[in-house]
Amino acid sequence: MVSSAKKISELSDSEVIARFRLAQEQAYFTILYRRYAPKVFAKCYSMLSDEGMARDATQEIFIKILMNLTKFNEQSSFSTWLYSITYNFCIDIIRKKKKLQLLFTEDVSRIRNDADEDISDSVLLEMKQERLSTILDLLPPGDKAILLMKYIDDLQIKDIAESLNKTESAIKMQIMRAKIKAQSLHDDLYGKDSIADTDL
Amino acid sequence: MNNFQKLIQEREDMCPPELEFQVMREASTLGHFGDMVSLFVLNTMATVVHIVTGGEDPKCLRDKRQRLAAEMDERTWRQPQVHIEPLPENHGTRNWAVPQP
Repeated sequence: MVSSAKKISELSDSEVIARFRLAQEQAYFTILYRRYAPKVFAKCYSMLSDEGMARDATQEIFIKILMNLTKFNEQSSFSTWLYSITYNFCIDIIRKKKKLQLLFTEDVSRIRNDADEDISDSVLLEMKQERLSTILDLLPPGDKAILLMKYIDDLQIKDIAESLNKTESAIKMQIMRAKIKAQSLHDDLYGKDSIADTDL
Repeated sequence: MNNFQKLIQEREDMCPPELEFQVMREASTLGHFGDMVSLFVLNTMATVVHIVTGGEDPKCLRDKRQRLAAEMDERTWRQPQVHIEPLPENHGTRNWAVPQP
């Protein structure tokens, strides 16, 4: 019994989905849930900035996944598909909650003149955690989604573009704008001292 | 691991364990509901459509009827249940002759 359970847990996502399609057994769905629920929850929490809403969103996303699992065509990996649903679901919630909120950073007037210059990834990756958390909360939801996809999920630009239904060049531009926006927010909130987490 | 990943890792650890129970309970309810729909609602709706619009039986009903007919032993219901005496030969005839005084 233990060995069979171990075997099931060692199956790849595609194999688990294939078995779920054949048997329609909830056990296979449970495996997918256990693999991805913490990741989905963390994304929802980062996007919605509220633990209760993140819980509800995670629950609804997994039910949505269950109902559409037979339609998953494996053109992308299961995780890419799941994360795409997660981000779009959270963006929809934010849209409904705060009507006409800016989805992406478009206020380029505040952005520096050297916008063509690529901002270093260290702007985000080396920022102190509590500052990063505050800045993430202040970024528009679209920017948050793009940054999470790029730096946490390690998705390719092509996959991000497909997930958010945008062109690759638009995504590249948006990543740059989001980084500039993050740095600008950091400077506004904490001054122009070092972004790097040196005092830890 | 960079600070961004550490922040997300902390949030992953915040995922409440009881959420699994809630999701699985809802999934189970949906499963039962799906079974019920596939068992009853489709045939009921097809029957209503058939009654309203007329025409041939829907496939689901036709298949079911054929299956039932194949299972049924024809002799059990086509043969008469009780023995009936044959009618007398003059049954149904009437003697119109006037009785003699």
